[in-house]
Amino acid sequence: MKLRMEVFSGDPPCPGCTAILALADEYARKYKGKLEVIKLVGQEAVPKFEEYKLSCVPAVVINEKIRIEGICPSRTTLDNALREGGL
Amino acid sequence: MNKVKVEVFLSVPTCSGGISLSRLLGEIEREFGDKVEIVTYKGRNELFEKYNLTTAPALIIGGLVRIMGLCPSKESLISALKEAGLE
Repeated sequence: MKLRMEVFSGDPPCPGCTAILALADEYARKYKGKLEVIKLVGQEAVPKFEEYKLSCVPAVVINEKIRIEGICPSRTTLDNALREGGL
Repeated sequence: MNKVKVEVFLSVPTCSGGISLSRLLGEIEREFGDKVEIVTYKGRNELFEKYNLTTAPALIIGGLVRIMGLCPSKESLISALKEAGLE
């Protein structure tokens, strides 16, 4: 079963949001077939943002668990979060 | 006495820098309330494009772009306000 990674970004984006969206594209290519990457940006992100009770962006939710909030993680951190999520 | 106009652009959903900036502006408003006029915009709008902004949070002070993509220190913000005429 594919792991689901939801990436939240604000609009207009802050530098962290710009970086995390690029990272999301990179990870979608890197783990093609294993990871489903969903980018939620700006107003369209608000319903899910509220559902997860997030407080700020950028944020990463893996299989419905909040893993990262308020920063763009390093690749090592994101790899660890994905591993924790079962990748 | 003319008030110094501060225009604040925040992303939707708000990023961590935007939250910090909102808190900082709250302090500024308490300290210089009668000398500054703070206008906050959430999300992308025509003014964001007009000022050629690319990232949030952003601060326009006295009609000039002063800060883009980060929350400044209180000291930096007060310096920018003084340059714009804060006494």
